[in-house]
Amino acid sequence: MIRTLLAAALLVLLWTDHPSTQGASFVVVVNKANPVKALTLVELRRIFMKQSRMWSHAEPMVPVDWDSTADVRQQFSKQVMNRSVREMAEYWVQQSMTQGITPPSTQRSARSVLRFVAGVPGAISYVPPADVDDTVMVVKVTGLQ
Amino acid sequence: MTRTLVLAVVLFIAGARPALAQQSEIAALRAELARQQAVIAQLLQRLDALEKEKPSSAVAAPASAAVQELQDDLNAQEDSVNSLREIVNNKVNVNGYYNFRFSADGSEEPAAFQQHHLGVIMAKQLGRFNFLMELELQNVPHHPEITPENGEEHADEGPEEKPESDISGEGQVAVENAWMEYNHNRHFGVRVGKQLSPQYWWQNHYPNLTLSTLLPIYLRELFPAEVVGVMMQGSVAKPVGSSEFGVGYKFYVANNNFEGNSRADLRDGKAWGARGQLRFPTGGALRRFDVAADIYRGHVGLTTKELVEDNVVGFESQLEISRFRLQTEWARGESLGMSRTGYYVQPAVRLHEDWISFYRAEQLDSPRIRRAERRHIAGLNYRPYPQIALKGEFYRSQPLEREFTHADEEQKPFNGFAAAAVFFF
Repeated sequence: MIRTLLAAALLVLLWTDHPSTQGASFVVVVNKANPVKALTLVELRRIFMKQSRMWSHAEPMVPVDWDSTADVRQQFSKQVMNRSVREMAEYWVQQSMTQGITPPSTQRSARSVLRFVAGVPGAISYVPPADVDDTVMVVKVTGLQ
Repeated sequence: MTRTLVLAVVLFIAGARPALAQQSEIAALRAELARQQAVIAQLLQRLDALEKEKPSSAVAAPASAAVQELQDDLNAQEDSVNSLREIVNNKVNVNGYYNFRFSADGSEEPAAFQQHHLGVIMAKQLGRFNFLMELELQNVPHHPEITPENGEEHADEGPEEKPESDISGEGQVAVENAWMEYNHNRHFGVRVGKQLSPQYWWQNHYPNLTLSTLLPIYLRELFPAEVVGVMMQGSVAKPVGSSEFGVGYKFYVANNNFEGNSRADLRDGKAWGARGQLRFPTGGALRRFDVAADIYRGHVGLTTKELVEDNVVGFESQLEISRFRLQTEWARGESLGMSRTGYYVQPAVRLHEDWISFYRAEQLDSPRIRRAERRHIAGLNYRPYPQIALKGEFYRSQPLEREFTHADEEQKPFNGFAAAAVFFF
């Protein structure tokens, strides 16, 4: 068993950290009342895994996902969550059973996403760059190419 | 026993009624949501059609007004949908699971179908507060001679009174989890109530989260399955590239486990335990690398009813690289001057999105229950949906010769098969 563990640890040490080189095809948007201007990739991941719950200004975080069949959802899942949509569904089954936490609510179109984010102070979501309008605020995500 | 069961079932039904009523309310809201979404889809189609038309200058103004009117309708409908969705999401979250299993092996135990578990989980989040309750209906085995010592997939009561009859359908209702939690921030949170032990397998022992139908053989012999008490937890992390290096802790004070029942603890001196966890940075194909160490110190009541000190330490790791997973746990316990150890190593690979295969090598050496055994399990999971697991596995069990095993009985290796169908709802 010790050999197995050592072999596994060695494998991990040899593994280099190389984030996805595929360009992001979405921008992250928040409600205009949100004072946060930038997030790290890790922070964004934690928000969409519901591991972070409150904004620094004491507003509850309300992540909003896209429908699981949307292309932008699949890209977001891969680039931000480092998991496929299917693997994230399995993660949410696990979270529901062990922590009682449900997945983020979903929307089916950019228009719906924007209206939701514009109407809910703690909301955060993502849309294709071409769909952004002035009802929401774009947040810079460091570490996301 | 029968009275207790009848009372428990009545209580369960009474308790479930509000949940059923709420479910029907949620179903009505979902239906309303679906209707609103259909209206939105129609409005979007009309809007697209109008926008594609090239109106002549004579009709441009009325057409523009029509588009604006439709746009307003659309916005109103979307607001309505979002409002309904928030109502649905703010209801108590009701989930559950269903587990039916079959097992047969070459031991003296008969083959058996078991309607094993039906669990209902209710949870609610309010800001920094969380509440979770899990009611579990567990059928006792159909055959009274089957005892739960061979690794049942269940995390509670330990040695129970034997079933009084072999009538299938009798069962027990247990509150497996009932806790509330306050998370001040990621560095500190506190959870009070009846909760699962913090070790990885106990936390994830639910039938649709495990790859195997059978629990690791050592599991019940080392750390207690549950603790009733107060647990503090938190973590700190440092960003590393697109990931982070994290250190987590848990510390708990809880009732001692007397014959598996912590309610019977009348001692002032309580049990305590702690857990430290390291989460290494991930990236690329490396998706998870966690290691953890656990310690537990308490008193345990054995069959003799004597109170004995019980100290347990354990180590574990979870590694996930691309489609490969490796889970290991090892633990050693000391009580009555005897030490007992157990471990498992479980590699697994996702063959396809819906298919996962696994192998597990495991061993238990326990003078306390005079059992020494090594087991190899190889199995396959088919998961057509994330919520459904169809599991099958073959295993070979090898009794080991030790000073403490029954020297007068011939222990022979045997093979077995177990399968389960699990539905999360």
